[in-house]
Amino acid sequence: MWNKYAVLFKTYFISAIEYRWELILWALLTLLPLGLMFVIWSGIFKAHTSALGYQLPQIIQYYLLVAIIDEIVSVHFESWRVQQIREGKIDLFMTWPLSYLIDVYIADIANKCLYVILTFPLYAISIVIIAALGLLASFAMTPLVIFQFLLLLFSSMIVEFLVGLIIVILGFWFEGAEGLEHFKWVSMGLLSGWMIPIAFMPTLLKQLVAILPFRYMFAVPIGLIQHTESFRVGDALYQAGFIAVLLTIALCLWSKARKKYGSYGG
Amino acid sequence: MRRIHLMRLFEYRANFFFWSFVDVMWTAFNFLFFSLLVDVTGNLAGWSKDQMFILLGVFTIVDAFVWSFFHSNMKKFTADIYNGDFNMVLTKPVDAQFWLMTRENDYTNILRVILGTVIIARSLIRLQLHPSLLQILAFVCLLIASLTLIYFLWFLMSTIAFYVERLENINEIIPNIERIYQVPHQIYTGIVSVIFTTLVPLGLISSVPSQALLGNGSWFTSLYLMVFALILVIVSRLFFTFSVKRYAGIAG
Repeated sequence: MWNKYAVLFKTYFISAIEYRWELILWALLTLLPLGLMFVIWSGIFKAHTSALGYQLPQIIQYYLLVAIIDEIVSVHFESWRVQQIREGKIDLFMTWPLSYLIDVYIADIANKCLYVILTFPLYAISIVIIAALGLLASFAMTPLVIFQFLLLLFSSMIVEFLVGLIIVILGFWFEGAEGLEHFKWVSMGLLSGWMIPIAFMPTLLKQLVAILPFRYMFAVPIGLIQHTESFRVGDALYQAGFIAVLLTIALCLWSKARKKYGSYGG
Repeated sequence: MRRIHLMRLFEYRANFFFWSFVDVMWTAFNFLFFSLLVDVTGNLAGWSKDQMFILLGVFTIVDAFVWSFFHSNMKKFTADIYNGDFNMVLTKPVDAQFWLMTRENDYTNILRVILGTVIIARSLIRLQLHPSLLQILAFVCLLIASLTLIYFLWFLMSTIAFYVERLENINEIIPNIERIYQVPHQIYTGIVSVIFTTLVPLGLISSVPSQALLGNGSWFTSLYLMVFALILVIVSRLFFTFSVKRYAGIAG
């Protein structure tokens, strides 16, 4: 039974490494924005020794962790998957012995595995260089913190995937559904702590972030390592409930979308 | 050509308005980030909040042009090379490079140009500054130089597509490095400053036109930006002409 999933994973993985120069460039492009962030914050901290409790090593650690978590959890299949649906090219998937949703998931995992393999050595080298310059805060973690961090990482992956999947399924109804991908980036980027640490936000925004579940994607896992956040059972239940809601929405939409879909010829 | 693109754009009005909303959202996101930063730190490399908003207004205008005219054209340029459709470009009765620059346009970013201009004007009023005609003329010239620099640098990189099997994400380099010219160039020091203000003066793209309006610019830096942009035009033209000889299309 698992053989078909393994074959699918292997196919997408091989397809992803077909053009190696593109892969190398993607890996470098991943590090470029991170490097620029470091340069900008270094410039800011030339005039200030600390800002809202953050010193330069903590800020560098923050954005390094943002980049690493983003590499693992983020999805980028919305635009081309929506296009696939709008152009009527999912007929094949409707006749396969496994669900189109599973195909989307396995393709995403295969691509993620490849990019993690490519980029993590580069992140490791970056960490060594930054630590050698004395610009990196310590990563001292207890087993409990490690467990909580990994749990949050896994739940963030699921949340990102489900939100991306909902956007893809909306492609059955909306011409520009891939535009919702941008809406997702902006809103989740702001409310999850991806853009800036929560401490830098105005009071109103902090209150909004505290209510919504997106902070568990970046702010809370990073806060666990930097000893500025905690993660209790109540938080875990809240996150699990949010995932359940997203999953229900995705499955309901998919059920309606399958009935709506129609393609011709081919 | 532009009329056709405009008509095509308004064929699906909801799509146009939706993408305009998305573009404005990104603009607001950028302004929010730097606003939060300056609120905490007081200034960014000596630039106050209103001065930063002028710089971000210039960046917004530049970025609007990048996404309206440059991105889609460069994407199509490299795609045509890889698909073997570049023959159609070479056989047109107009200069190939001119055709590559102008055939695709996306006007959903018009709102960002207007937004950027309004924010610049508002910030100048708040700073009680009244730029002279010469300053405004210098601003326009430097803005054109900045756009020229970005475009021909991008064109130069995309021309590498003639030499590799497939490298479509080469068009993602410029969008990924836009943060370089989203901040004042004074933030860069040491070797980074040499790279971003001298070797590849991307750091000057938003700063120098902004300083022309603020009245605290340097003639040398302004001239350097314009001369560099001109050199880039010549170099990209020569490289393109040389690289086209390598191209072998497919029949059909």
